[in-house]
Amino acid sequence: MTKKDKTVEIPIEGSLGILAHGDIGLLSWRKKRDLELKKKKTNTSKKNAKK
Amino acid sequence: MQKNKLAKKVLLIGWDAADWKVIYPLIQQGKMPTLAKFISEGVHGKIKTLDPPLSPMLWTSMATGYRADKHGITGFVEPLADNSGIRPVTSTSRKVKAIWNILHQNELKSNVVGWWPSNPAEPINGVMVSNLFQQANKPLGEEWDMPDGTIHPKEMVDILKELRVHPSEMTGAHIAPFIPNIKDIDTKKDKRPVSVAKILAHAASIHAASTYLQRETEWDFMAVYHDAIDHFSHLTMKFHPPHRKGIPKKLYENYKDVVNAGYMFHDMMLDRTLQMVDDDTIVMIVSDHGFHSDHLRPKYLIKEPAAPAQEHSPYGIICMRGPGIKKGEMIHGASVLDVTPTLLTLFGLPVGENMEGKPLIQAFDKPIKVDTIKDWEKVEGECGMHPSDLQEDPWAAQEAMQQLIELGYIDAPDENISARINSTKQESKYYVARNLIDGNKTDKAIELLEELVEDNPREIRYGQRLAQCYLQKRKYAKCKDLIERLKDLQVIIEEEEAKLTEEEKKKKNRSIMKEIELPNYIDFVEGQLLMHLNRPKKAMVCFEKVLKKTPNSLDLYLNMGKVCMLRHKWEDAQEAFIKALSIDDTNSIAHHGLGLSFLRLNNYEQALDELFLAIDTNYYFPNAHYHIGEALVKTGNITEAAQAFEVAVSMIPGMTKAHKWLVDLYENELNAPDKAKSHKDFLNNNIKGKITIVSGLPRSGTSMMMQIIDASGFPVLTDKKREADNNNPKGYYEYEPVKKLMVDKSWLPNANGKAVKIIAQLLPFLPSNYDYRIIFMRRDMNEVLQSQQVMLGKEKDVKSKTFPLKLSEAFQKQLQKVEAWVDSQPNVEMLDVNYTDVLENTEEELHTILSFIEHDGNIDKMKEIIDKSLYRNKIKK
Repeated sequence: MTKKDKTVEIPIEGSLGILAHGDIGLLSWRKKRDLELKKKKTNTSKKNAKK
Repeated sequence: MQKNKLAKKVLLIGWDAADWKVIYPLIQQGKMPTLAKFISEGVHGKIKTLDPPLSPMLWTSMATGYRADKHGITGFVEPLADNSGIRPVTSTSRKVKAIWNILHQNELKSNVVGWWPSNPAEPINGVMVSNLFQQANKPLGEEWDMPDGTIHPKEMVDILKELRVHPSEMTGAHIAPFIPNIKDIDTKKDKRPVSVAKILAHAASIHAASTYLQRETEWDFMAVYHDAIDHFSHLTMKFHPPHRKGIPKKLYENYKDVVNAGYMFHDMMLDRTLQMVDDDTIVMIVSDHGFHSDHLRPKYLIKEPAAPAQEHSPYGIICMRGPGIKKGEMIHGASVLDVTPTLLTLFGLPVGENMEGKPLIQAFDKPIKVDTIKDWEKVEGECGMHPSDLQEDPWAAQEAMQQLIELGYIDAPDENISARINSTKQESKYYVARNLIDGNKTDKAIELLEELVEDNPREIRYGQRLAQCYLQKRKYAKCKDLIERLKDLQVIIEEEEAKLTEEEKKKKNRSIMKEIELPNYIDFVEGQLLMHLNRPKKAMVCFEKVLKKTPNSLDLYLNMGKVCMLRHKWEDAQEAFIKALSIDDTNSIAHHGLGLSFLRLNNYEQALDELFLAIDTNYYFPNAHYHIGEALVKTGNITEAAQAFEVAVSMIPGMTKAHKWLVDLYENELNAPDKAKSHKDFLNNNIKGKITIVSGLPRSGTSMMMQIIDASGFPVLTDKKREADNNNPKGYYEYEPVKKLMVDKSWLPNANGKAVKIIAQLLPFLPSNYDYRIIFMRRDMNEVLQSQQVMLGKEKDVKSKTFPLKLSEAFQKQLQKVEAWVDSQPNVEMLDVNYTDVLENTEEELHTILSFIEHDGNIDKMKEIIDKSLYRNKIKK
């Protein structure tokens, strides 16, 4: 995501700044959050499978 | 229909309850940089709310230019059409076109997001996202439906539904700026953090939808409404700094940042919104009312429906920026009713002549001509409103109803649905009555309140409002009667409450303020009545009773100040107004009263300071402008004084005293005979002179008053044709031609500058081309009638105590007609003088009379007239 030509890092837990960026901020955050959650889920199931 | 379009596009942003008292400190600390820049690039000021300050009514007034009696949104809830229950107010109840409907008729496109009320969404030319859009009706993870009617057009539903934020999506990172101690709070016990998450999710949903529509759709007008500041404030303003006695320290520490964080979040959202605005767009930010954030925060809420509205303050915010708008200036005198007329003007459309507001042309950098149209409702054709028979699904509104219950605006539904529906209807009627009072439509308000009192005799609130309306319309007898009934009722209620068990008392605990407030309030209204009847001493006794129990009542001090001013006790008036200002330092009436007191005590500099503060808060204050003019004359600032008088006459064109000053200043000081001429013409055409009149019912003491005035050295007009007799041993002081006033007014020039006796019933026949000051004699009706009977030789009736009831009623009605006439005449000043008070409280009454007729008379000679032995027809009380 860019803001005035500046790349903004989206934290997985979100932030007020991202929400204040409106629809683009919201959708970008959800995308990142869901991706991270998916990754986490995959890692957990892999770990569980190894056990 | 568009002529001179000033704006290509207009973006209207609504921030419910936003208040400068919170914003200014945040701006000073650099915490609202976007708004700070915005106001430096445009105009800003206060916007006056309407009473009652209930948001759905106000936002509808904002979007229509009408009050509730016309627009039809009369509270938070409304009964379902089939009377099976109640629901939150809907757009289908709005009876008039909103701005977006008028724009629709003029082929302009609007996007409307979250406006309250806007569900079901109207089929406008553009997009409407209703106020139910953001309400989550399912837990996170379950299918979150978008109820029918939430969005128009339906094609937008799939895109916009993804932009709703569920409260459960909020994380610690979102909440921490509001509640830094969030980790230490047990949210199972303390639900405030959950409420913060919900409010924030709602704001984020509205913002996401509006930014999408702002960027991705074509529009001419866009309106976005945010309720979050109001909701954050109701939730936690009691914890806002400074800490107040009685607020638990722990809770204060947990929630002291919520309100400020809420405002800062709005500033951040505004930043994003403005990034997407082009240079051709005018942006307006408004709130519907303010919110007490300082020592004016109520410690308790009086128990009544919509009680949280008691936390609202009467002034919200307005700011405007864009092409054609002045830069870095303040605007004054804006009202919630001015928003639609201003928007119409920006779009080059005519303003409805029946709209109650005005375009805020002072914000424009060039003078513009405002076009008008008789009534936008008469303009036929498709306008994007719902067909009148449309009904809304009540289940879709259930979540919004729950939110209103949580916020305390409405009570949880009773078991008895029909009682609930009835109370909703009664409250709506009460709100409309208050709205009418606020708009000076007192007669209509009286009609509604009389019905309410009749149907709900135990609801003291309704009676109190009605009593004040009677006062305003000078229906003193009715007012007195009602006050007596309310007092009796209060006694009955107190007796009933004394019989309650401890358990029942606990149950009624919420009504603690009611028990304290109501008797005081009746005393307060009675005090006002006595003030109207020119019995300031007795009025003061009532006010002092209230003062003992409610030492911080603003209204009380304002009224005490007014009493003192009436009595020309300027030092005492100062004391009362200073106390009023210690409660609310922005109160324009108190600043004006204090300024006038300084003026009358020849302290001109301090008078000017206070009077300017009065118009700073409330620019539409003609008397304050007039008194500024007077003070400026005294300090030798003649040009500025003339400007102040000009402002006063622009507000009240018939203010003859200001015209007189202007003639004097332009002719004698400013060498501007052309300017003087227009005011002179006005006075010549409209006002031929000033006549002092002594009036009242026959036998109410009018002859005595004429004698007193004569003794003071003030010229009187009398032909002494009617000679003194046993009924009036000191003479009647009449002037024969007065009796023919109905058909012959040619004698009036003889009365110019003099005092003349005219009975009350003839007053409405006076022509409007004179200024009149009327000393109106009041005397107990029984005494008046008894005296008349004696005069007519009917002593037998008096002795047998035969009371002419019909005559009494007829006289009361005649008096009401006369009082209504006095109210409607801008050229009439009236002083009520009580006959008994003149006899018992002579010195004070005579001083009041002299100051009213602006005459430096001989008090001792006046006193000699008073002969208590002539008070023969006295009713024992």
